[in-house]
Amino acid sequence: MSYWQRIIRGIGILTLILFFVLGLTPVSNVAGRAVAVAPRVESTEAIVVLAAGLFRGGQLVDESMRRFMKGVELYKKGFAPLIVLSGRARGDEPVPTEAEVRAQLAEVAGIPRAAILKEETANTTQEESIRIPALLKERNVKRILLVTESLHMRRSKMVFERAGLQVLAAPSDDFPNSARSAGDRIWLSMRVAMESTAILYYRLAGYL
Amino acid sequence: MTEVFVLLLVTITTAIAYWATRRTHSARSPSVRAAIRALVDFVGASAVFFIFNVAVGVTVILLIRTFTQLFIPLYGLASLVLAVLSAAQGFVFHQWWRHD
Repeated sequence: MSYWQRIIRGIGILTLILFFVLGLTPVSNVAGRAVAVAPRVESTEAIVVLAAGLFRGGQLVDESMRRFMKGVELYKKGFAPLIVLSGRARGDEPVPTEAEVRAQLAEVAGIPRAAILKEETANTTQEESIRIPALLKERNVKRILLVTESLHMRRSKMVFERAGLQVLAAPSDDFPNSARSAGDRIWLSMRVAMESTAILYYRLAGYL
Repeated sequence: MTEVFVLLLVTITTAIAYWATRRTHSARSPSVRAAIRALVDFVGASAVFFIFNVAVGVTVILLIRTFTQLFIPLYGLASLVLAVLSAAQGFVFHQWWRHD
């Protein structure tokens, strides 16, 4: 057996062990909890709901809807007088933007248009952390409730804090604790790996 | 609980298939070990292709973002299709390397 065949067999054994350990034990839940940020929900000056994407035809993807609903819930409970809805249009459909779809739904949910701010141009979390604070600066907002996926929260909180805001985490889910089936745990492991890589990339690129 | 059921199910169907194969093909233990080794090699080759695909994909996307106005999200690489195609690449190249 050649050197490379031995390497590939070793990777195969490692992959199978990883599959069983990550899928059938709580290792991925522990890793998820290490990456996630604990919620701290208090009164602030604005609720910022980060983008997650649109399906073709203008429907919010599941993750976008989950974040939006969390933002609406916080607004309705009176945690802030202002809600910022983020999200650009799809690359293949210039309208509507995710922010506009969310704004229309927010109005249906009873949030006055005057309490809604939209950010419709940012492509990435880093761009959102530049453009949303610029919008909020005009209204003298310094303290926000940030709404995003639990695993995306650490990186998002760091870039928004770097932009000069005081950020309280309001995650839209609790995947690190709620993932119990093997499929959910494998997915959670993938998200932890992706988010850890993204944090490393943000550090190398000088965004953090 | 679902996982225990799934593992039990796979164990039972494996045992049935093993028993049926021994009866009809006079399969010997060394052949089973060789088949398991082939599975491990296939998984290894697929994992290598998956990592290779993701690495090349990230590089290409970052180059496109840097040198053009186009925006392609990196999240597109977390795709089931990529995992399945990587497995197909792993299978084909593993077979090729085995017979070379």
